[in-house]
This record gives sequence, structure tokens and C-alpha cells, in this order.
Amino acid sequence: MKILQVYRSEPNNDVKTLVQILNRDRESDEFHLNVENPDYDVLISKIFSADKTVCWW
Amino acid sequence: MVLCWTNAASTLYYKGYNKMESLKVYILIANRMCNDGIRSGLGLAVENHYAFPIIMNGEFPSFSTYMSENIAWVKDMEGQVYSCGAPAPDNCVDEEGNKLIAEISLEELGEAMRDADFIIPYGLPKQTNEPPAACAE
Repeated sequence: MKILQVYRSEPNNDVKTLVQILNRDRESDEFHLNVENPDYDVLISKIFSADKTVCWW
Repeated sequence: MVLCWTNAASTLYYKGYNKMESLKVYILIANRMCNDGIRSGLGLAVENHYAFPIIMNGEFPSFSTYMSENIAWVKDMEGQVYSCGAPAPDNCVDEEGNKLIAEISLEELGEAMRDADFIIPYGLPKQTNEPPAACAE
């Protein structure tokens, strides 16, 4: 199970806690959309290589 | 697996899943405007999925009879509306006076979501400014 965490803004403590639990004992990756010029090609690639994606606020 | 959804979770489309399979979906609602998220959960429930709308901000509107019925309906369909990190409100009860919204801690929620098929952080994030008085209710 590979899980991808996508962040639309800087994660708060609640999100960090949930992500920590969700990622436990799993292969995980992340992508930040709250940066200047996010590389959407990389995002698409990561989504296709992950089994599950969560897009946080 | 590829997935996409429109603004309403009830119009969730997916590939890689048998369409007859009941999915377990958690809808995380951080903003005080929680009704749409709960209604989306109800939409999934009537499509035979397990829906768990989670109100995460501890702020509850005055629940209309209509919304209370919606929340009871989610429960009848083997889903559950939760309040995470705050006591469930007293103004959302069934005909016997039992609270319709259950309480769940952040850690319990995280553990429960490990089994989820979909996790949908729904709508807007928690607002940082107080709403105008006209929108406070």
C-alpha cells in the first residue's frame, strides 16, 4: 500500500497527526501545491504510482 | 487506480472498483459550513456506500429538523456523523432524545481512516476570521 498525501496549504497539527497515523507502516509520499509553480507532471506521476491519494485542504 | 470527483462527493466516479462494491468514505469537514458535507455523505449512503462525515471544528449550527433527519438517515444506512475533538451537540437528537452525532478523538479517527477507501477533506479549511453577525447562526 503506497499512500500519497497532497497538501493545498501548510498542514496544521490535526492534519499532521492524521497523516502520521495513515502513513504508519506504509510506503508514503507527499506533494505540496502551496508552492510557486508546482510541477503538475510530477503530481500526476505520483498519483498514478500511489494506491491511495488524500488531498488535504 | 484513477479517481476524480466533482464538488459533490455524491457524484464520485471511480475506476478500479467494482461499481457494486460498497466503499467506506470519510468526509472531513473543518469549516463551520458542515451541511453540504453531511448531505454529500447522505448521497453516498443512499448509493449503498458507508459514509462517515466528520465535523472537525467543534462549531455546530442550529440543526433544523431537516438536517437532523438527514443525520439520522446516514446512521440508518450504517454510516455515522461524528464530532472530532469536541463534545457532540445537544441540539441534534432523535425522537427518543439520543444524540445523533457521535464523538471520536483525532487518534481514533486516524486509526479508523486506515481502512477507508476514500478520505475527502471537504470544502474550505477552517476559517481564520470570525463570520459577520448575519452569518453567525
